[in-house]
Amino acid sequence: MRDRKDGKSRKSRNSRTKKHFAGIRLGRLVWYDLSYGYRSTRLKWLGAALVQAYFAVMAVQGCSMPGASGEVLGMQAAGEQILGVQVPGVQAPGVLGYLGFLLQGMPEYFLSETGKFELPVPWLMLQGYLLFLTVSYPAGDLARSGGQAIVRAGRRRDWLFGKAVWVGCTVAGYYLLLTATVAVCALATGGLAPESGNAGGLRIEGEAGCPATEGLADKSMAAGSASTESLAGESMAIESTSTESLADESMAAESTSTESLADKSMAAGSTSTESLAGENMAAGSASMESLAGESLAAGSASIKSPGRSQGFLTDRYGIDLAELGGWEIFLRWWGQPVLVSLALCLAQLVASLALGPALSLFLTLGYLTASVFWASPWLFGNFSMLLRQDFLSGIPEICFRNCLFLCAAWSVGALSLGAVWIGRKDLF
Amino acid sequence: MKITITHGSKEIHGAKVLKDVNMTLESGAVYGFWGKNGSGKTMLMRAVCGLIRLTDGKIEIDDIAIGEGRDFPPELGMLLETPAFLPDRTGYDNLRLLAALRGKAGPEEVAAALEQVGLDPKDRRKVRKYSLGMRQRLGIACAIMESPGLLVLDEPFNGLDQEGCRLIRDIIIRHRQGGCLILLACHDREELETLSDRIYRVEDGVFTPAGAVPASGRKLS
Repeated sequence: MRDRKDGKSRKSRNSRTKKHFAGIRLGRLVWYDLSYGYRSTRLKWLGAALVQAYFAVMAVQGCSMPGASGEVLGMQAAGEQILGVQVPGVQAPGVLGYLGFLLQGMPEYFLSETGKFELPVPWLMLQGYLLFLTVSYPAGDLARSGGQAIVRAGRRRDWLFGKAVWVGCTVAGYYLLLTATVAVCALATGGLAPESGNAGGLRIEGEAGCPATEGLADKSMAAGSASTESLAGESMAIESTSTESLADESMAAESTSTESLADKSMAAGSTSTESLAGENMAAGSASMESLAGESLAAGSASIKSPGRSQGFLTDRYGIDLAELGGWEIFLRWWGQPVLVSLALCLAQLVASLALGPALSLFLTLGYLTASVFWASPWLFGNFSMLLRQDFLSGIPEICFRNCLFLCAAWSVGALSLGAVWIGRKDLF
Repeated sequence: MKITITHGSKEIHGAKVLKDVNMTLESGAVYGFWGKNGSGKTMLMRAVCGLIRLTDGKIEIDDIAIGEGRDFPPELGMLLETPAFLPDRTGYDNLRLLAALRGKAGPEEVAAALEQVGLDPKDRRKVRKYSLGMRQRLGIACAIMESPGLLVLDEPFNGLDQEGCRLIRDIIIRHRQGGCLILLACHDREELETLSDRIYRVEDGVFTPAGAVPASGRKLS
């Protein structure tokens, strides 16, 4: 009995020891890939920084809304000086706005004789460069080291696991770099999530033709309406005659009079504004009744509470961030693009070992580009395009849940196939 | 360590590159393979290293089959082709990076291996500035730095001068005396006869013992 117990405890000790050493070996392998992989791709990372900086500047220019006037405030003036970009007194987009610009992609494309097709260059270039960044190291490690690395890994699939971890870290690092680049631009042009501008003399006009989106259960955007009654979103100010005391964020426009605004308000072209509780937008009306909660208004006669990045996103895309929780914002703006990139890069990793880096890059880029033309959840690029999201495009399949499920399944499938393939392949 | 190859065959694109290879290899001996280019020497070495899978037959190392119980031999040091190291790092840095994978060789072992092959561990030149002979020496240092139990050397004397060849001979002799099992492929028959305990003549994938040549004076089974 004692021998049996000793035997069992010896077995479990041996198994624990084996797992312990296996864990140490995997840890060394991951460390090797992170060090060696980074050293092998240093120039490409420099290229990534340059590409991201270029498109970040493009985002700053692209996010300048036309038709606005007024003094440039604070950080915006600094931004103008640094970047040489005219950002005339409009609400600064902030990190979300710039990131949204870069990752917006394009709406669902319908072929027509009169319609104009514009390739979403920033989105395609940023996604495509990440594929380029991750394509060469895994296959190169096998060829370059002449098998020295893989035999030291101990097991073939452990070697593949190390490469997969490297791909994951590269994807994460790439998006962190992108966020940092965008944050720098946001800080230079009004802040990460800027407050609204000061009152007095500041004229802010809504974008011409700013869409009136009605019938949205949650978000509301008033368009050119004479009055706005209770609005539950944020507000953007337009022409108002006068603005009286603003408790929180406010942007004054031309208004005759505005009575006390409890929270944020933007005076627009109205004669009087009654009490606003919460964020409010005054519409272009002779009187404004109580606004409970956040409100959005558009159109020249409206009073809107101004320039947070939420206002920018609302005007540009019809996104009401108030309707999206903080977690959902994170998932849509960062989570989905990261998941999509990870799935594509892992599939590319396996393909590069079988087909070579050049062909696998070509195929993966082709698959990514196909997403531009077809709004389908089976083309993963759709999940990383902001304009294709279910809350904007009305395509219910393009949602986070489907993204998570499909990307996870794709990644696991690719790695499993890769493990089987690398186990059988003649390496040299 | 004991390596047993049983009915080992390999077919690539319809061509048989290894034909029914049978041999038993033991520690503390040097096994030489002599033959023309393309005869199958390197292919067998790759199979022993676990880099290719045999079409038929099996290779067992201490009764554990490659491809079943394990993917690669334990304690393997190999030089199958001149590895391409990171060109913008020194030889020492390159070896340290690879040594970190197994964790068996520290800075002292890496430096000692470089000195054994006639390279200076403190040399700050990047690998891109190395000559062919220096890269060959670096490859051999990579093979021996972890004190391997199995050493597989394919044409180790390529690109080396007389002094380099002498150093490599010393390394082979020292490792054999230390109990290492060494597989040595070389097209120089004289070199093989000097170093090997047994030579196999290789022709069109067939391995034929070319008579026991006990360099150590030991008779091999």
